[in-house]
Parts: sequence; C-alpha cells; structure tokens
Amino acid sequence: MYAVIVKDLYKNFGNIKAVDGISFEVREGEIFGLIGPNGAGKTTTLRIIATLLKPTAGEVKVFGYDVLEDSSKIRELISYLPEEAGAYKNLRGIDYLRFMAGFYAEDVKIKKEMVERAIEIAKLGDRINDKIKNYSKGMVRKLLVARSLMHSPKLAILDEPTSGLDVINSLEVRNLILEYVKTGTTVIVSSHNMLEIEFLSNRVAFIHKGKIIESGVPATLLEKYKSENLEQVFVQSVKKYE
Amino acid sequence: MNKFLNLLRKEIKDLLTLKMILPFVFSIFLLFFIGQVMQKEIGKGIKPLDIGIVDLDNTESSLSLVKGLENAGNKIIFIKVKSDSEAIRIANEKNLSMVMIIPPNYEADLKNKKGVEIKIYSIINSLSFATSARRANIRNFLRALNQQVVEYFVKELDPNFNLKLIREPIEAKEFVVLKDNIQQGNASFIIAYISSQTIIIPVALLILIIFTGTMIASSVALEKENKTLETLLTVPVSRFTLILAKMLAAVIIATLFAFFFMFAMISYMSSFGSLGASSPQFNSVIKLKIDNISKILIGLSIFLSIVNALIISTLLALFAQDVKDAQATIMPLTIMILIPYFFAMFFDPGEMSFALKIFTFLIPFSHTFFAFKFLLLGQRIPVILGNLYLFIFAIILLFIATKIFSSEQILTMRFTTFKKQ
Repeated sequence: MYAVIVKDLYKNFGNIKAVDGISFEVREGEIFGLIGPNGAGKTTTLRIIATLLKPTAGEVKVFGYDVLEDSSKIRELISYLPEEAGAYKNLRGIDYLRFMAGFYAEDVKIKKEMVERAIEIAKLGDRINDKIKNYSKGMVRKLLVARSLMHSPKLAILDEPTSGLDVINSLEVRNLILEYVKTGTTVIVSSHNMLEIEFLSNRVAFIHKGKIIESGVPATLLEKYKSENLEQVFVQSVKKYE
Repeated sequence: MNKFLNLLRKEIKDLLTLKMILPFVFSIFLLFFIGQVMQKEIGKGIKPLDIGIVDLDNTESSLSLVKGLENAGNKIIFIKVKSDSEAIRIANEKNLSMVMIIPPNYEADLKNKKGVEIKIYSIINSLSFATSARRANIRNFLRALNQQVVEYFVKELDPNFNLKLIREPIEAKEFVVLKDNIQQGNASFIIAYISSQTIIIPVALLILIIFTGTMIASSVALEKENKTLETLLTVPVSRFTLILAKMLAAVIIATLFAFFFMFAMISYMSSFGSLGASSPQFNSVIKLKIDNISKILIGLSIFLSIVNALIISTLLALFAQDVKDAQATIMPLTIMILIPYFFAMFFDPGEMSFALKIFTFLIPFSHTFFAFKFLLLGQRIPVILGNLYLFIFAIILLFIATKIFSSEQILTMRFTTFKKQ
C-alpha cells in the first residue's frame, strides 16, 4: 500500500508555477527523499501533503485520504516539521513536548509515554527542563524532531530537517531519524543537501523548477548515471532534462 | 475539550509574560498612587491655614471675628506691629499663608453702621490645589460673617423681620425627571455627577478593548514570528478551536487586568471627592441607578464589543509577519474605538445629525459606549438593537476569520506595506 500518492500536482502562486505537474508515490514504511535546489518546489509539495496549502490542480492522497476532502483525518496521521520551524520560547522544552502531546493523546498515561519517548529522541539531558529561549539552534531542532516523531505518526514530513545545523548536530539529527523510523513510520524528507538524502533515503525524487526530473533507489540511480554520488546524478539529470 | 484546554493553557502562559505584566502593574500602581496622593492633597484643602492677625481694634467684635476664624479650624498667630509691611515681613518669616489686618475702630464703625475694611494679604508660598481650596474657605467664612452683620443690622431695625427673606427671597424647588422617576434635585448637578461616575466605564472599556486587541494581535503575530504557526496548523485540532483558545485567553487576561484597572481608576476618581455625597441630589441619583435588566444589557454589550475587537484584531494580525507589524496593523481598530469613545463623551444621540448617527452606529463599539446613556434615559430598545448588531457583526467576522484560518491565506497573506525590505 502507498502511504502517499501525488498525481499531476500543480500549484501556482499568482503567475508563479511553484509545482508544475508532479507525480510520485511513497510506499508505507520507507524514507522517501525529495531533492532539489532552493525554490525547486519541495516545500510547496510538502506543505500540500501536510494540508497547509491547497493544490491548484491534481490529486494528493495520504493513506487513501484526500488532502482537500479529508484534511482533518490526515492531520491525525501525520506530523510535519517545517524548514524554519520554531518553538514557544517562553515554554520549557519539557512543557513544549507536553503541550504538543496533548493534541495526540487524551489519556494521561499515553501522553506521559509520548513525552518520555520524545525526551529519549531529543537527547537533551537536563536541558529539557530549561526554557527554549535558552536553547541553541541545534537543541531547538532536536526538540522539534523529537516532537514530530514522539506520537509515532504514520507519516512524518520533514522539510530540511538539518537546516542551519553544524556538521555534528546534522549527523545527530540524521541518526535520530534513522533510528526512529525502524518503528515503521513512513518518512518524506526534503533537502537540498543531496549527500544527506543519500544517507537517509530508501528512494529519492529529484525536483527541478517544479517538475520531477528523475526518481528511484539511490543505488540504482548511481549505477544508471555511472556516478559516485547523488549530486552528480542530479547535475546529469538536470542537463538531460534541459 | 482537552485539546481546547491544552491550547488555552498554552495561550495564557504565552500572554502572561513579565514583559506584558510589568508595564500594566506599573500603570495601575501609578494610577492608584496618584489617586492616593490626590486624596491626601485635596484633604489638606479642608485643613486650617496659618493666619497672622494684626488686631488694631482689640475689642469684643474683633476678637469674635478672630474666634470665628479659629473655630473654623485655622491656626491663629497674633502679630503686634504697626505697619502692613512689617506684618508681611513677619508672616513671611513664620511661613504664614495669610495676614489679616483688623483696622482700629472696627467695632465702633460697625455699631455706627459704617463700612469696615479688613485687609487680607495672601502670601503665595504654594500653588497647590489644596492651598487654593483653603483660601476659598476663608472667603466663604467672610461671606458668612457679612451675612451675619447684615442680619444683625436688619434685626436692629425690625426685630420681627423674617431673616429667611434676606438669605433666599426666591426659593427654587428643583426636580429632575428621568425615566419614570421624578426626584428632587438639580439637573446640572445630576448630569455632572453621572458624567463623573460613568466616565469610569468608557475609560475601562477603552483600555480593555485596546489591550485585548493588542494581546491577540501579538499572539497571532508571535506564532508567525516564532515560526510555530505552521506546526500548529498541522495538529489534529480544528482551526475554529485554535482561534477560540487564543481569543478566550486574551479575554481572561484582559478581564483580570480590567478588574485591577477599574479598582485603581475608582481610587483615582474618588480622590476628587464624592460631590456632596450627603446632599439630597446625591440621594436622587442613587434612586435613579439603572436596574438589573439594564445591567445585563450593558454587560452583554461590553462582552460583545470585546469579542468583536478580538476578531478584528485577529483578522488584522493575519497580515502581520511579526509582533512589530502587529502593533501597526491594529491601528484601524484603535481608531474604530476612539471615535465612538469621544463621540459618547461629547454628544447625545438625539442631538446628532442623521449622517453622523449612521456613521457612528455603523462602528460596532459605538453601541457599547452609548449604551449607558441610553439606559439612564430609560431607552432599552436602542441597546437591545445595538447588542443584536454587535452579535451579527461578530458572527460575520468570526465566519471570515475561521475561513481565513482554514485556508492557506493564513500563511500567504500580507500587506505589501508591511513587507520587510
């Protein structure tokens, strides 16, 4: 079964075509990487899947639910980590997690379990009790990743999960995601860092000027383009497309 | 319900920051402090003056005049000098407020029915309201003394003369008709009294609405500024619940603040005195207080105004990208509130032109500002219609707000003028 089906998706902002007729599927339990430079249409696509934006045309289904018709059902199944997400600075890390857990569980015990899981994922130690305004960028990002995975969503949509982080923090966040998806969560991850996606994803799609120009399993693509990494594959596929 | 309470708790925590509380506590403290100081200062007005007396007559009558001043609570200091300038010099040295010079032959001239001239030198060593009030007390004392002398002369001429005819030959018995009540009293006094008392309501309402509006606008803008809005919009909770929690949090905090503000305001207002609380006019006003149904109508009107202000602020804040933008975006709301605030202070609906009336009452907040006036005049229908208008206005605004919150416009809409360069 497919977790996500995107079919002939278009999204215009006035005269700008942000997404120009893309189609792809994400299988249940896999990590699907959406790769492309800034402004390629990755975030717009993810925002549509996350029910934040409405498609101009086309169809998007998440676990069989339509983004236009069943947006509230979809919100129960997903978690979305925006690229530039922040957290409530006046709250302590632990209070933020408790607050977010409150949307996914009414039972106190389940809520507590979610928060404990998030603390484990975030690996912030005692700093979890500090106010978020005192966190570094890396700590906030770890907290947000933990927040997006704590309730075991069926689909986690992670937009540039390591955006703005240094090498060590990026690696830690990538490991967090890899470690966590072993539980069966489907993940769509976007990045302009192709090495990161290569490291994380089971399958990838290249997005360029609002169109998907190539997709497949990283190893197969490397072989197909006789390249050493996905960056080279991307460059070649852009040349081929243009 | 739990999700709503979860949101509400977070919103209240978000709004109740030190940055928000401190300026408010400070302004309340300031108002309360000013009220207390004013009360003390005005209290001094009824306290005695230090009066230097140069009694050049030294007779029973002159001593009786001095005794009268002393009985009025003034502190009397006798100065034995021969010239006015010397008396003033001593008064200055002793920091006296006044020097009264009773001329020689004071008693004899009075008895001979000649005019008498008392010299009063007021030494201006303070420009306070209290000192001015104390000097007025002396003038009142001399007026009463003159009255007594006149009555004494008349009695001498005709012992059976009715002295009331001198004091008040034409007595006016005034009545005020308000609602179905006819009460004895002075109309201008009652209007002044009502105005002074009812000023608390519009001022508190003005602060409450602007404060609530700013809070909700900042709250919405803060979600954008902190980049938390996108996450919040993808959690499994309805957009209506999101708006409602934000608004209710703002209402709770604003009401709390308004309560403290009213307390401070009342303290401040009471510093101006009770306007003759023991007079018959005051008793008339007490009897003309609005009834319980009117109180409910006023309460409903205030509540609906706050709801309208909250929704308008929310809508305006959607255009803002950060908290600074939010302060600017709610400017139209502030103007919408200030117009009826001033109109209600200066105009009566009955005296307004048709065009002005239409313009005024199209602004939803006008209905609340004018409600108290209508109810005091016994007119409930305009208040009920006003509340209905406020209710319909709120429903339409809420519908628009929920629509925008449910659409992608919440993430994309902004005024180009507010765009960061």
